[in-house]
Amino acid sequence: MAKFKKDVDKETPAIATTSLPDIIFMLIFFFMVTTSMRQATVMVEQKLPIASEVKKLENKSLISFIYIGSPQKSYQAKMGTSTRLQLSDRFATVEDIQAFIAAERESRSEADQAKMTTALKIDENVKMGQVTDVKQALRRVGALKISYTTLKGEKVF
Amino acid sequence: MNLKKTPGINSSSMADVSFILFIFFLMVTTMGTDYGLIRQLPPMVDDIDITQEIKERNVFVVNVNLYDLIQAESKVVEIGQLRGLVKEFFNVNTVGEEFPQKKDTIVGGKAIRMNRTAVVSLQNDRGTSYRTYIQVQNELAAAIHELRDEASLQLYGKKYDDLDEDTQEFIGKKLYPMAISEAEPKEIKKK
Repeated sequence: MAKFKKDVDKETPAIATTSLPDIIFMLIFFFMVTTSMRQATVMVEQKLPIASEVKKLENKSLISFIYIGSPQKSYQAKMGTSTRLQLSDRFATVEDIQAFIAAERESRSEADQAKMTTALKIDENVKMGQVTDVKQALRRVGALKISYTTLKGEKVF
Repeated sequence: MNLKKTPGINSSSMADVSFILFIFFLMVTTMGTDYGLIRQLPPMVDDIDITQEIKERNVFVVNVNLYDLIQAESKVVEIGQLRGLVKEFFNVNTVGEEFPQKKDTIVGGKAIRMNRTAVVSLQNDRGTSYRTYIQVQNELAAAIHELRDEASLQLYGKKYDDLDEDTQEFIGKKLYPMAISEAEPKEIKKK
C-alpha cells in the first residue's frame, strides 16, 4: 500500500513572507495619510518666548489657536510689517474673534465645549497692548481658559 | 556565454527594514506637542461693581512699564530677583508688618498657618513686550510652585506633583493658590 504511505520526512513549508513588507508599507502609508496635522500655515512671525513652568497642552482637538506677530516676509507686501492677528488661515482683526470662537464652539460637541482652550501663540516682540485687546475679546465671548504657548526651557532670562 | 540565471534576491529581511522605518517614523513624528502657561481669565462683568477691599499688606504689586522695567512693591527690581521676593511674600512662615495677614486653620488635628488673602497684582503697560510679560508670569508661577513643593515636603514628605489629588487640592487651592490678579492695562499717555 505504497499509495497511502505518509511522507513523514516532509517539513511544513515555510510561511511566505514576501508580502510582509508590503503590508508594513501599507501601514506606513495609512498612518502617513491619516495623521492630518490640522494646523493652519502660520503667516506671521513666531518667535515664541521661553518659560519653565509650563504644562503640556492635552487634547489638541479642543484647542483653538490664535497667532499674533508681524507678517512673514512673503506677506509683507500685502499686509505691511505691523503686528497682525491670524485666525485659522487668514489675517483678521480683534473684532473677528467673536465669530471665530463661535465657529470653533459650533464644531465641537456640547460636552467638549466647556473644556475648550484658546492657545495664544504670540511672537515675543509683540506689545502687550495687542495681547490685552485679544484677551478682552476672549473674555467678552466667555472663552476664559487660555494658554500662552511658549517654548519649554530652563533658561528664561 | 554565461547563461546561468541570476539568483533571486533574498527579500526576507525586507520586512525588518520596513519595520525599522515604521518604528522610526512612529517615534520621530512628534505631533508638535505644545507647551504653555495655562491661565484662567476672569469673566467679563460690566455693570456689577465687584471691587473688594483688600488690605495693602496683602497685595504684592508688580508693575511692568513700557521700557520693560519691573517694579515690585515700591522698588525697581531685576527679573531674577522677583522669584525670591514673591516667595518671601507668600511664605506662611514670614512674619512682619509688611507681609500678609496669617490665620491658623485646623487641618486634620494640626494647626496650619495660612495666608488666604494674599494676592499678587500684576499690571503692565500697553507698551510692555510680551517677552517680559511671560518672564514675569513665569517667575510668579515658579515662586508658587517652589512654595508648594516646600510645603508638601514639609507636611507630607513628598513633592507636590507626587501627592494624591485631595492633598494636592489642599496645598494648591488653600495653602498656596495661584493668586495672580491682572489689572486692566493702563495706558500712560505721553504729554
